[in-house]
Amino acid sequence: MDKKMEAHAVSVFYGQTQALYDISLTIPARHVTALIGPSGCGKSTFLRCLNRMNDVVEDCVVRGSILLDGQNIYAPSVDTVMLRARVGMVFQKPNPFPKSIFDNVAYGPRIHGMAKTKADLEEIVVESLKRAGLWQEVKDRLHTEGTSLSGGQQQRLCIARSIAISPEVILMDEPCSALDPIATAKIEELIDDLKANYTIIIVTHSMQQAARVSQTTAFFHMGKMIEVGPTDVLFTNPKNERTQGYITGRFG
Amino acid sequence: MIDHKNRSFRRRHWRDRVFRRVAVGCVGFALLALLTLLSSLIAQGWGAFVSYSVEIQAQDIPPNLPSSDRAAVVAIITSFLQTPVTSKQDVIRLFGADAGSQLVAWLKQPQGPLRLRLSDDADMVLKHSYQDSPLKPEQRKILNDLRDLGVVRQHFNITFFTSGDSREPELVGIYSALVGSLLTLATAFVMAFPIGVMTAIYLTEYAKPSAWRTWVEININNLAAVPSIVFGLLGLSLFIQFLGWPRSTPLVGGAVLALIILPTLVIATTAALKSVPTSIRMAALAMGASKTQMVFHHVVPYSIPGIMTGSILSMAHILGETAPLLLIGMVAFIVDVPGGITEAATTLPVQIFLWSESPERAFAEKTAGAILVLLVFLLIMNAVAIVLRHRHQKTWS
Repeated sequence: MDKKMEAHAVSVFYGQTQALYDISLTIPARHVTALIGPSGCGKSTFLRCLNRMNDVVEDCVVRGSILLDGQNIYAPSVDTVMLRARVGMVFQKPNPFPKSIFDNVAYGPRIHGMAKTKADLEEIVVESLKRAGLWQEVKDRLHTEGTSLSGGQQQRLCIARSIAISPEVILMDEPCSALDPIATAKIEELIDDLKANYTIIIVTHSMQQAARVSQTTAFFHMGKMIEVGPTDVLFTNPKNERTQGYITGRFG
Repeated sequence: MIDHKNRSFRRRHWRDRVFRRVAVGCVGFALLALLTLLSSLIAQGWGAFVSYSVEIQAQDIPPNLPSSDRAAVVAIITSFLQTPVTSKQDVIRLFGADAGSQLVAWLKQPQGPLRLRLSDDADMVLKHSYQDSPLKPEQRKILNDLRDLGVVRQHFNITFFTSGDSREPELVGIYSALVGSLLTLATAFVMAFPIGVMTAIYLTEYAKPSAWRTWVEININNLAAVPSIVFGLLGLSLFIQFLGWPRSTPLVGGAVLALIILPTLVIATTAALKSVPTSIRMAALAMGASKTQMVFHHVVPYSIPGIMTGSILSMAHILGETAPLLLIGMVAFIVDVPGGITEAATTLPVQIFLWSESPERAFAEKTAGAILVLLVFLLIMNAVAIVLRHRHQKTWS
């Protein structure tokens, strides 16, 4: 199994408070890795380290190294713009731009100069919408506002938007927490399809979701990674008693 | 227990009702005040939009007119009245200062009836039938005779919108003041808009939180509260005395007004930029947009309605500004329409101020009329701001 990303002894500080302690984790390529744990355990913080979104946060310091295809993304020579073109992100709350559906998906290819002609751009947009399973629903109204879609459709639009720049890794930060069960099911199906081409790391609150979509699960607690392993093993036969406690619902 | 709850329940409802009635009363009072203002302005100002002329048909004009235009006017009127007139002065007194030139123009191109504008005093008598009019009884008799003969016509006072200031109330207009206002506002906008918007963008999007930034922000808020006359003094010493710019001009006036709206513009733009949610900024950054791309592809375009609304409202604010312009000499008597921003000009509110000081009774209605025009412009600008805000309101997912 190929390694796509590797975190080595990653610690994160927000000013004086330490949010993550020495996290080391290997992310396999074309595979869904789930990060679970109670609220405030640091799983989202860890996720945001993987495309350096934490850089935006004032006085956030990241120690340790994170490798993407063997290259440290925290090296001084790395440009965050290039990094984020390779590591896409989908957020907890759907956040389409207040532009048309077409322009939402076309934004990334435009700024990265991925399409030479208008026809190229259209092809990328259509392909991305198809991959995100949204094409059938929006093909007749590509020029209506993205914000006029339903919550689940907006989230799939955000997924289409992030895959339009052909990233290698997609980070998903609780992508279904604002959605109803039917929309959630659609997104989960989509994640299952996407893993053939992309490496996916998903933060989730729902253990059932982690169990359904992921192949590897990492359990975080109080800023530390307690246990990591193949999802079926972790859920049926956890080694650590805190993992056991969390998945059986004793705390959370 | 139930009893106690009942009593408190009734008391809360009573407070509700009292509060609602007080609030309705306040709104009613505000509306009443507004209505009084508007109705008194309209009552006083309608006369500015209406004026009287004497219309004489071509066949009633005697041949062999005297060569002096004023004498010719007297000759036409006396021959039309067919009653002897004791004093020529009594006739001349009834007509506007430009009656002579109106006649000359008509003689050159005699089309339709001859129109002679009435003087402000005659105009006032016809509009309000004052008893204490400065017109003498003989003069009033001639006016009445003309009216009985049916040659006194009421018409829309187009002069009010096409000419500049004048010593003669029947000849005044707001056109040069309007053009002056327009030039001054345009200068102020061109100077303040780019600086204000760029300042706001830098402070909200780029500047890191620091004591310095806080200090700048606090002082911008303080500047917004500085009385405008202080800016007039600053303009006088900075632009006119130090830089030597020509006084009484839209250039200096615009620069002073730009200083006045700069803080408001920065505050409005900052508010518009801050209303773009963090989630949208995060989305742009996560797509690999650079900071500047995030700001100029997303944050700024999405806040344009807010920025426009702020700009229009600040324009409306300085459209009515008078005091600072007095200090930089825009209070001059301007007859001609200014041809550029370096020519002496006046603005609408300053024109209103000037007219309000004039002793002639006819200037009172011109003052009120000009105020009505100013109010119409303000209403239009505010309406545009409201429409912009409603039409381009963004929904964030």
